[in-house]
Amino acid sequence: MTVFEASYLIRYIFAVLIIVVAAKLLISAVRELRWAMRHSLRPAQGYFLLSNQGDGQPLSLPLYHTTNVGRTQTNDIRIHSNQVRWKHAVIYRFDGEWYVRPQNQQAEVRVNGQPVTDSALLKNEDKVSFGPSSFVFVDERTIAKERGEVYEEAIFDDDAFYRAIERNSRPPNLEFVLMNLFSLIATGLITFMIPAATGYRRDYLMWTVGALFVMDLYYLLLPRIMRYADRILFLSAAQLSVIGLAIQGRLALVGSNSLRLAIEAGDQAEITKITENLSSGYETQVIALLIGLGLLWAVALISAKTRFLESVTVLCGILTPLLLIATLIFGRGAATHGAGLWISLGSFSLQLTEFAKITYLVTVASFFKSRPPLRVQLMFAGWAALVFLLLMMLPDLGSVMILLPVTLIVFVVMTSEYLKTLFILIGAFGIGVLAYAIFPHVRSRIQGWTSIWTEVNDQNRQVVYGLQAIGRGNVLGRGLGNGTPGGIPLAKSDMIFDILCEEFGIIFGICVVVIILVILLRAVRTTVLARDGFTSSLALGLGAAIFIEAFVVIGGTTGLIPLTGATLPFIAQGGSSLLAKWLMVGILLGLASRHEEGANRT
Amino acid sequence: MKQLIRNLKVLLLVLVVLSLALGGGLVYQQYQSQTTLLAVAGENKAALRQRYAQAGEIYSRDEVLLANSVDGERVYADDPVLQESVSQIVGDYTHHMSNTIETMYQDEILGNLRSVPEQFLLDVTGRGLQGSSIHLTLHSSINAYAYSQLEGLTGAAVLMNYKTGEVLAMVSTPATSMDNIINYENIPDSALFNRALNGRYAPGSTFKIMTAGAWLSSPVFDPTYAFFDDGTAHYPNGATDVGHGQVDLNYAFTASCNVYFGDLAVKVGQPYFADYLAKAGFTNLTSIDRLTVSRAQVNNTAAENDQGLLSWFGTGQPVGELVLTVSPLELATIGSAVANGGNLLQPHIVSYIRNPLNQQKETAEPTTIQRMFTPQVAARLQQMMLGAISSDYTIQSNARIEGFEVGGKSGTVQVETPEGEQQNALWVGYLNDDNYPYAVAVVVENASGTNSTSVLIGANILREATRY
Repeated sequence: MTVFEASYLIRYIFAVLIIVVAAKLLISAVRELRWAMRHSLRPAQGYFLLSNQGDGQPLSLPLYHTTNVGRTQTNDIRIHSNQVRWKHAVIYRFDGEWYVRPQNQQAEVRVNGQPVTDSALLKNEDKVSFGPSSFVFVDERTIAKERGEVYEEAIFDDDAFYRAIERNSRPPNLEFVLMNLFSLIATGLITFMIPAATGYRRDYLMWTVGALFVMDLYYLLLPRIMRYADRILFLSAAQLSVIGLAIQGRLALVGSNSLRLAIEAGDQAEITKITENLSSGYETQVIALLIGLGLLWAVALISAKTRFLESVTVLCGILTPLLLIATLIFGRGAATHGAGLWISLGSFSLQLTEFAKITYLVTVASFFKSRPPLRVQLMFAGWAALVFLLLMMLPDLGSVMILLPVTLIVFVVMTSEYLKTLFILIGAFGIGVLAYAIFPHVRSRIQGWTSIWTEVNDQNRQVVYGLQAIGRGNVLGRGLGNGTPGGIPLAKSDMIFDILCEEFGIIFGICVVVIILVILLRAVRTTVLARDGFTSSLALGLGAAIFIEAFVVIGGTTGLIPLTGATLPFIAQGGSSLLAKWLMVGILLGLASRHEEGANRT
Repeated sequence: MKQLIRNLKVLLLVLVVLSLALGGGLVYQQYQSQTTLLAVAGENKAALRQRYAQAGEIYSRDEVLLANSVDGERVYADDPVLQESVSQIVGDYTHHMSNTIETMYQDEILGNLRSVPEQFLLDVTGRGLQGSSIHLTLHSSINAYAYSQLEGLTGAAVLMNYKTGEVLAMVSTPATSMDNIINYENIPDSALFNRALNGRYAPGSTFKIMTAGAWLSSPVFDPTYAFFDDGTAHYPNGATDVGHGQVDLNYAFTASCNVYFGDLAVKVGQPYFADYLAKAGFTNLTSIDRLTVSRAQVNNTAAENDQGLLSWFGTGQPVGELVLTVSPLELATIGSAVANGGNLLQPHIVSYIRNPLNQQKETAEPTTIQRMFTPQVAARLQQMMLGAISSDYTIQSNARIEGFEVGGKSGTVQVETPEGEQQNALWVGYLNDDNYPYAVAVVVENASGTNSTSVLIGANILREATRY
């Protein structure tokens, strides 16, 4: 039996492995998210509003990271008075401090008798008034500090809560073992598929097993690096990355016609040259993964233990358009990819737009950490318009297709501005129609998409070939190394999902979608459990960005929606993309590990 | 905070629905790509080359390899004449031709789309990657012979077993080598066009079989109908010929008398004739296994109030606004229907498919599409066709084969082409023999003035078939 025939049989094992991993991760993620949602209305410990009831008894009102005050039922603090607006004010926490802000211009809010028009900082024993109702803001930590005491109750409650979280979370050890099994089998197969004459088998093993070892080490050490580490999130990203390594290794090193011819001719110099050429792309991918993993702990710890992210929001707001402008000026690669998104740095090239996505999301989170007033919303709209204009000029349609929905998701979830969201959606549709009319490349993408089933043309050839690959793969695929990716443009990057489906089957493709959904669910869990609006908002943005990017790519390469130039997170070829995604995972891990400020935090 | 949680729940619901839609969409797109995109599979040559490296074989009925994958390459029949003769049927892995075995049976040859149990069984026996082999009904020697008969000419020939519907030979000329087709170079004009399946030819006098059938079945049938033919038309602008003297049905068929058959068409009337052809299944042949056959075209409504035009229709000459075309395969099935007692058989080109476990699938079974003629009418038509060859007055003497009884009907048609007027010669014939139940149809384009070429080629193919 040849290694290719063995691979054909092993596809059954791969299918079982991925189904079990995806299913178990999904079950855990759903269960924990449900638990988190049930217990999410957990007030901030040590902070509350104090009010006098009619009978003179004091009433303590809990505060959440974003506490809405108003007349309607949806508010966290509901005041029955005609002088109080439906959405009157918001009390929110940012960077460890508490603020109050009216929700609209007619809403009367006073702090210690002074009218508040914008955000006002709240200190212990401040008197806060909403129309006729007055409250006293209590900060038990400050009180304890002033008395020279330690605020023990908060520590106890907080720890108890997180212990409950841990009790309800199951470490994904089985998934971890299965992921390793998948990676080792795939690596073994590819090792034997690489022609022995290349002499590259040992190097391939070293690179691949080395990367797997680092991921394993992380998985095992993560609980020691940070408390409440989200190992389900880490494992989901790691599983996608090992799938990426397997398919990228196979595409780079197996089935090269020129290599076969050189081996047949016995031309050793040519063999070495071709092997070096083929392996360099794969090695770059592994290096990007290792850099991402290397930075992971630092990013996660900084995000978890410091307010660094909060302190760089303005910088991110400035950096985002600057990164895009730099790409616009210095970008290369338009000839091969339709858009010049690559910046050359010596022998390396970086795709700055991948990192601009992160700075963009940090800025979005800072804008929508609480319900911002109209003025701030308009300010954001102006800034976002600039960013999107720059993206359209690049043209990076893929990023537009990802960031626009993500912005809307963060906006509507954090602000509950349903009507405005509807208007923005209508506006976005209008802009889409305008883009169709103005930009020829938008038009050609749409025309290619609408003609998939009727004709093969230059606009849709890539997707038609990709769809044929998916068709060839059927349910279980042809086995790793047995697919026929030949002729599919950008098979390693843009069209990687189709190649996956050909070699591993549609069942595998669906499992990849499930694992990406798990990443989203973990991000949403962090959003729910977070103790401040910024953390909530950023976690949501990051999770949604990974999910939407995968959605846009998979939908595009399978002809469900028009194709854009985005890449499948963690799997597609592209060092910048892979590095940026692991940085996002690092931030998400850090955000998940954040907990209420207290004695535990140093 | 309450609202945030509510928003998140709604968002999650939307995104989960989106994920489900994506998953469902993937399955749907895969199904679509497996069905709709098959025709354009040839577009991605690189992928096809890789895929066909592991593809199954294509065999003739006498087990000669017509296509095979060796050392990562797809190779075709060794014998260059045989290779060219089957080129338009077997087809090319690059799918420059779409109506071929390589394209239409791609999933079997490549081992795609198997049922899960079958695939599992193949996998555990280590044959999962192998494709199935396709066994054709074509006989390699007869097919190569038929091709050599037509070489240098433009036309088509079909030989089929009129008891089973199996096609033993099907050739179309010009044709070219597989290398030329795969590299898409040095291809003679129209060499990728399978005339046998997709050619649309006016049937000429071969259509008189159908006119006679309509006459014999009609309520106005008069067995004594005869007259003296001086060649002049019986109706304004009607059918004419050279004048055959005293003609009855038998002699008119043998001599292919246009005036007589024009009279028959007028006597049965346009509505009855149209209805008869429809009920006989004249336009019902659309496929041969998975390959597409150009459906016969017939429309004589223009002759509803024009007896002259209707008389021309009866002779198989679609003049004016008349529409009447057949494919050579259709012509062969009409000849078969006469020979087998009236059944329009479904022709077969694929004898069976054999998977790597040696299980046979899609085995060709004799299937009747429609009863074309009643046994009585078929018997009378047999008598006429056999008589047309054996008669002393035959114009098809070339069709005689020693030791065999041959039936046949020839035809010639004047057609306008961009190169000028040309004459197509057609012949449909059969062997009246239980051991060699073969019917043949031959079309030669731009034949040199007579129908003798097609008659001779047809008879030669029948004679060759009796050698195996």
